[in-house]
Amino acid sequence: MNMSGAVVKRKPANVLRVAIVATDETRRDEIAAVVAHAGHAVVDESSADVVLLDGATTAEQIEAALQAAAAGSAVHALPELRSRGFEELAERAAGVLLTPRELDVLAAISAGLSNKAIARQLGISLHTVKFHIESLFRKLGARTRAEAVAKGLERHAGETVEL
Amino acid sequence: MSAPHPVSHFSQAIEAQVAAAHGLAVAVRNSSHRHISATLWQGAVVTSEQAVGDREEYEVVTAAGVTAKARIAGRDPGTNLLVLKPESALDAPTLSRASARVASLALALGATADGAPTARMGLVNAVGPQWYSRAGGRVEQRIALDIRLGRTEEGGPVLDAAGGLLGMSTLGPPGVVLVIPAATLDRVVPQLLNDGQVARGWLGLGLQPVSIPEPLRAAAGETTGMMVMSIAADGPGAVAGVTAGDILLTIDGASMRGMRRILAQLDDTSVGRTVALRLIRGGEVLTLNVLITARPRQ
Repeated sequence: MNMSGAVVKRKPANVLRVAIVATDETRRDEIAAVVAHAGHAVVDESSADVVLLDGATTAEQIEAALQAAAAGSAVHALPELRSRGFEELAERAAGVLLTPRELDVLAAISAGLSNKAIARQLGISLHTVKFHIESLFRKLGARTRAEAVAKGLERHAGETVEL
Repeated sequence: MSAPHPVSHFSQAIEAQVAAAHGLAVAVRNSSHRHISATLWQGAVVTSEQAVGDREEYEVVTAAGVTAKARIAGRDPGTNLLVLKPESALDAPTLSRASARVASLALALGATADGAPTARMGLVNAVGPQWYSRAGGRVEQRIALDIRLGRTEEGGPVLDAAGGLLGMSTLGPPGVVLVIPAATLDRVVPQLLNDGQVARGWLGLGLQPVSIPEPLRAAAGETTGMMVMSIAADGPGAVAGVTAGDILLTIDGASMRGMRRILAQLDDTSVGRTVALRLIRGGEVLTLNVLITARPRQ
């Protein structure tokens, strides 16, 4: 799943004001270079159109995420977006877990695909796509696609382990 | 002459403890003039791993204003410890080790970019047993403080009211300041100085918990598993034939639901052992044998 994570805070102009959430300064500088190269401005979170969350991302993924954000018109505020500190590993995952298919659908939504395009990409019916999206919204407590992507990102960051 | 007011007496006692630790907290600066606090530990400089990138060179500035170039000698995201070796020796007072007690006073020291000392005071908010971090490292005790800490103050020493060393400050979950205990520093720092890393078993897999689809639950014998999201090239998982999208169910029979057990199975003694990974692939349950190797250097 592409979790490079551009989360749209408000409707952006052509030049995006981009905030970068990364704990480590080298990663921050690397991501800032990619953002600047794509012609966007790096700003503080308070004045940003878009907040980029650092995942294990490549320059291509960051550019793709920015393109998707620039094309998107979703209006969404993320009040609790902060870089995470050193945390305890949860003994068990909290809340209702997503199924592999729901994760596929979520990744497709975050790539900006329509329901029809998702059905084509995953080789399932439009009806099934809608069924999975309903279930995703319910499990994530989301009302819009942008909110589902944002909450999915939060979860992904909190649940993924490298073993 | 009247006796000093008890509060000013208390204040002076705190000042004296901080003065006794003078020089222990230093600043670590990078070439972009950002800095973080650090703790001198037997000639090495210890700081918060999560706050430091991977530049060639850093600069350590002491409270006396002495500047020394330093290189990263080792890092362990698992315990959030990073060790720098300065080019010239830096003197620091040696403190006794303190043990954390709930509601006892704690002093969190740090340094400004010029090495000048900073201090914060609060209570030990909670003390818990040994715990595992999300990066898989074991930390000897979970010590939480009711102190707020600026980003640049992370990595400095934390003292108790008697001036003993509790450990190194670390920004935990949002709003929480944790202490990496002195016992963890004692165990991990020498390994980082010698090997650059902490030995730990490695599967080379990035995993996310998933709900197992209803039709597969009977065959799986589990309701949840860990889906493979990423695979390290030539890592143990890749060599054993694990592919992205596989859902791990058990390691040597231990359910993937209990993370502490899984991490205990991947401790330093696990390196070189072969384990059976039971997993779901394409609706079928199969078992692959994986040879655990040592986690490579970052």
